Amino acid sequence: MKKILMIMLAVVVLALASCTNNQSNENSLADNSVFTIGEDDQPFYTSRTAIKLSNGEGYYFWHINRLYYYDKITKSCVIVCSKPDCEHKDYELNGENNSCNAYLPSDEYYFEKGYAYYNGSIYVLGQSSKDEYTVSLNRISSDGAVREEICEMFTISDWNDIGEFTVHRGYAFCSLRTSENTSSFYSVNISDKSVSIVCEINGYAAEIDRMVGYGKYMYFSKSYAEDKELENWNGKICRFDIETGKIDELLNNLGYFCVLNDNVYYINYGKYKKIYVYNTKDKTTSELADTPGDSKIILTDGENLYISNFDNETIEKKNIKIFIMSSNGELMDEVSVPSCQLFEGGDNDFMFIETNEGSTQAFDKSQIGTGKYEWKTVFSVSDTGEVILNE
Amino acid sequence: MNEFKRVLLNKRIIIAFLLLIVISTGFYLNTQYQAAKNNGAGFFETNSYRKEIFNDLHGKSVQRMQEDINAQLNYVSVICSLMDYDVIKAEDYQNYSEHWQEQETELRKINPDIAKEYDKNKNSLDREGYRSREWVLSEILSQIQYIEEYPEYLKSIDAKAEQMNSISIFAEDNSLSNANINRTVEDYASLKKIELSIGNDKPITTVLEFDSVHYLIFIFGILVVFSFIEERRRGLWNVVYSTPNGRFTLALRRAGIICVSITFAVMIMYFVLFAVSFILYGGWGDIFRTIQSIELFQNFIFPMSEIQFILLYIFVNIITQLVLAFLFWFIMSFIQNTSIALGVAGVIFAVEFALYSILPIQSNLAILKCMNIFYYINPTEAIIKYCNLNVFFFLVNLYRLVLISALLFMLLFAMLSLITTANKYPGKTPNKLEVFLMKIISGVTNFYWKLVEKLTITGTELYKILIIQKGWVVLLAIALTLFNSIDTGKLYYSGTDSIVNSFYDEYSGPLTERTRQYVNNLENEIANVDSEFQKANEDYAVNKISYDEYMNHVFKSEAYDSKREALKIIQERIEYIDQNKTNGTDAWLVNPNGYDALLNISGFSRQQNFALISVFCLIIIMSGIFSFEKRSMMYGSIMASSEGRQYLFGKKMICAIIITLFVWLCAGVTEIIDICIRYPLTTFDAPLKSFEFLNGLPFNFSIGAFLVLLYLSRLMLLLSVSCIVCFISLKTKYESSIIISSAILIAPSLLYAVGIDAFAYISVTVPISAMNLIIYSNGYTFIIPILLIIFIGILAVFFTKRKWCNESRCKNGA
Repeated sequence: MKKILMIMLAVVVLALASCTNNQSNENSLADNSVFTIGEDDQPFYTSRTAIKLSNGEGYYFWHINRLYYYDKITKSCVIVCSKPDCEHKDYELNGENNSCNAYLPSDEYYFEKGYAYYNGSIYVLGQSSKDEYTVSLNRISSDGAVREEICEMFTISDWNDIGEFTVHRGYAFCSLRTSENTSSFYSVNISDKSVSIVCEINGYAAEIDRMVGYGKYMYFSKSYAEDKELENWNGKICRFDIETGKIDELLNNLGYFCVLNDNVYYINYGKYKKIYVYNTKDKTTSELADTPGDSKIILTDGENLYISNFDNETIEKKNIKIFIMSSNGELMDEVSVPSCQLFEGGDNDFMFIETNEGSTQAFDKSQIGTGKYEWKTVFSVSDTGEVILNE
Repeated sequence: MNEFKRVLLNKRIIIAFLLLIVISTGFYLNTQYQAAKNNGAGFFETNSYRKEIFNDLHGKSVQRMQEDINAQLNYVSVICSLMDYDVIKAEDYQNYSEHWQEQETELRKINPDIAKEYDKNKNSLDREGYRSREWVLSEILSQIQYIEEYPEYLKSIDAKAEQMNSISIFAEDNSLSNANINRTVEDYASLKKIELSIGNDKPITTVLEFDSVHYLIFIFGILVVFSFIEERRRGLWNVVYSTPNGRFTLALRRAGIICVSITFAVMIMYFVLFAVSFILYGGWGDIFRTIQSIELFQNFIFPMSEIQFILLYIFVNIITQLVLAFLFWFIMSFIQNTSIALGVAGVIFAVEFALYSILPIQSNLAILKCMNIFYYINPTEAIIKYCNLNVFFFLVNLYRLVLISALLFMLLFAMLSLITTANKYPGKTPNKLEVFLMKIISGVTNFYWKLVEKLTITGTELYKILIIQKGWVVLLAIALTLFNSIDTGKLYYSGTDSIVNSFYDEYSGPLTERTRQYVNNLENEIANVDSEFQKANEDYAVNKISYDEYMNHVFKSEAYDSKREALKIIQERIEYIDQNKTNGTDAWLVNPNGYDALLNISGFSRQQNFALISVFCLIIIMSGIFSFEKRSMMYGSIMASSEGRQYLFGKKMICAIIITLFVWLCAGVTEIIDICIRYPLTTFDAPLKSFEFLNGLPFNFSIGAFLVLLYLSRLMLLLSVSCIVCFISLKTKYESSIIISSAILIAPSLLYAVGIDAFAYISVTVPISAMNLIIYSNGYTFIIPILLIIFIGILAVFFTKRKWCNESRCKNGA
């Protein structure tokens, strides 16, 4: 009898395991992608606030208290509220907003600190129902219809001291300034809701930022001043091993970096204006290419490198570009974006920019290499602050 | 039939019901009057003008109505604006010339004829009359616009649904979103055929927006249930239980009494309210128009007339109120000790209120928000608002959920109450195990009773209150509840807050030159960083410095953001102190965070809750202090004994003081500990006006003295509450004492807590929590309610003593 029970149990476990595998395969991107949507942190962004969060079929983005979704197939943008009768007003009956699914006010849900797509849901930090100072981890269903407060994380006098937030491989990560000269790196195991401090860094005006999840690691950069007068600054790219809990300091760098194929790509803009690649396996650094267009920003969509000079104030508008480079340093294409205010990233299929006029435009990446580039406006804001979708 | 007569023809129940009707109507009228007043309009003028307008609009097309109303509103609005400009001109000419003169000139230019007419008649114009007209016309115009746009709104639902069905996140088959989209389209389809018409919305909307009536009916239900435990109080439970119809039959009749009394209560209450509203606003002729003609019912998906809706609304209210009455009866019959039963009921209500107010409708636990006592008390939102919920992976309409769950709960609680009432033994013979256990503990018991025998009179009185009447359970519950509310989690201070806190640690106290020097140094430091950054910018632009050097300046400048913010806060505080100095008021630099959390707006809710818990606890314990003697048939013996009057009265009052002190200490200590864990409470000798939120106070002694006075006043008020309850306890029986005390001391506070502000004036917890009252009162007026309650407390002691000590004839209350 015991044996039969054991066999039955094994069959059930195997069946469940096979179900899980099928699901993750469905969520993954094309074969050549190195990150899995719905499991890994999404690497293709310049600002966590403006991240275009891919679920494989479209992109979530948050703009002033409301969540939107851009659908890849219909190429249309909607408010994430599945109530056809909802007028998406901020205030409903009795002055209480409790109706619109997409209404996620910034003082209750801290989208400005970043949000992540994991296991079919959107994760974001927010104000706990307990009190105004406690920060909790929240889960929002993919259609916006269900919200859940998962656990309380910490208590802080001003939520603006939260650095960045993301989710990678079952863990939510968040950096937090815990005193004038200390920053902490928090993690939450989403399945058992356990909260822990991964590391604390001390140093003059110490901060943790630029978190990138890749494989079993969470990469992050820490910056601090070397003297009390805050005259000389240093920064290090580190990585936290999710499995062992070990933290390694990889290299000195204060600027943007991205991780692709176990290599850390970064721009040393100051001295050399070159792109370097640090191999995390043999711990060697090599020069990859010259920085195109006097760029400071380097990103990856998991396949290629994207380099941009949109934030370089010394560059003329007509020369603002996004450069597409292969991981071996070969410049594949360059897309001119003269009105780019912010290069927002995207995923393997689309990339987005915010223009100086306040509109968000999408670029179908199948156009790369064709020489013909068309940007589609998905979202714009009028002078009066009114949001216009699919103009 | 006798039970029907005993309960429903009981003069106390009838008087209470009539009183509730008067309160309900009075508050309704007051709400309508205040609404008109807040809009600067006259109450009666508005109503008669509204009736006049609707008579005038009768028979016109919607387009014609809109043109007429627009024209009238334009005329009235111009007159009102010109009147406003004249008032501003007379009050503050400089303000007028700076901000309003240009607008007036423009307005006169656009409307020369109206302006001319205004100038001609301005001395004879009735300001309030024009305000009333403007208000009424705006409302009617908004109604017309709603009716015009409603077909478009219905079309937009179909269009949005079509679009949503093509979007991947909503379109997944069998998903709840997809089901919601399709269900919404189906539900709204029935509204496409209805015809809307303009009419007087007010008689319906004002009654539906009047929340108090639901709570008043709920109170009536509690009164009826309380009358069922009369035999326990009179010591007749055993007798009633042993009669042929004293168990299930009696319980069945009582269930019938609940059904009849609640049905009639709801019907009469609403009949009175609707009658008053129709008399007040008119609109009898509109009761057969479609209910969706009123904007409030835009999302009510069942096509029906106003009168049909009123009947449906009353029916749903009857069902939901029955749930509450049966639930309360079940609790009272399941737990024999009334104090504990009320405590349990209080805890259930508190938990339900927390779920109702905290959970968003999108929560995966939304079912706990919607199948909730507070949705049953006031189901209006569930009825008129369209919402589909995820209930265990099934899509359920909110209205149907509330109605069906109410029906099921009504049956469930009715059955449970029947079973419990019929089978709950008043007392029972111990079984063998119990006899065995009793033998074992008899030794301990003997020792215990020897200790009890040695108690003094005060000790014996405390023993009666705390042990025999189970007061210790209530005290333990309040202590645990209050101490459990303390948050011991670490609070991280932001960079800015850390700098400001360090500043206060060093410079708290009167403003000195040393403090100014610190601020000057900080200003210079920040200015240096800013100028260095500016220079670095310029140098980097001409390649004078490297990118790395430039970035060092960027990081440094960013790191100074906290200091910039901190400097701004410190400067504002110093400016505030200087301003006070100029006005001759003494103010110091004090870290305001702790005092702010303790005394200001963020603490109001905590203060109100603590006051409510304390009063609730005192009512339950003190209600038995005198009535217990009647219940245990000792009243006559005590009155006849040599020290049973003056002496025993004094001892009983000492017990009341001890228990009140305990409750006060629990609430006060919890509050102080909760604040001190997170914030510093320092500089107790600082003047009150050091804090901006206390600047309106008419006195300026030290914050330490203020805290002492505040907590002493809370103690005095709690003692007064205890005395009032003692007085009621002496005049009535235990259960009646709880009902009357709760009606006077708890009900107004609860109604205020759920958002009905009018009850603040008669809420005892407002003066006890005090700070809301103190901060928003003019001058010393906050003292009036505090002194009034203390005075009532003293009167209560006086009359309690007179009644107890000068009882002319000894009668046994039992």
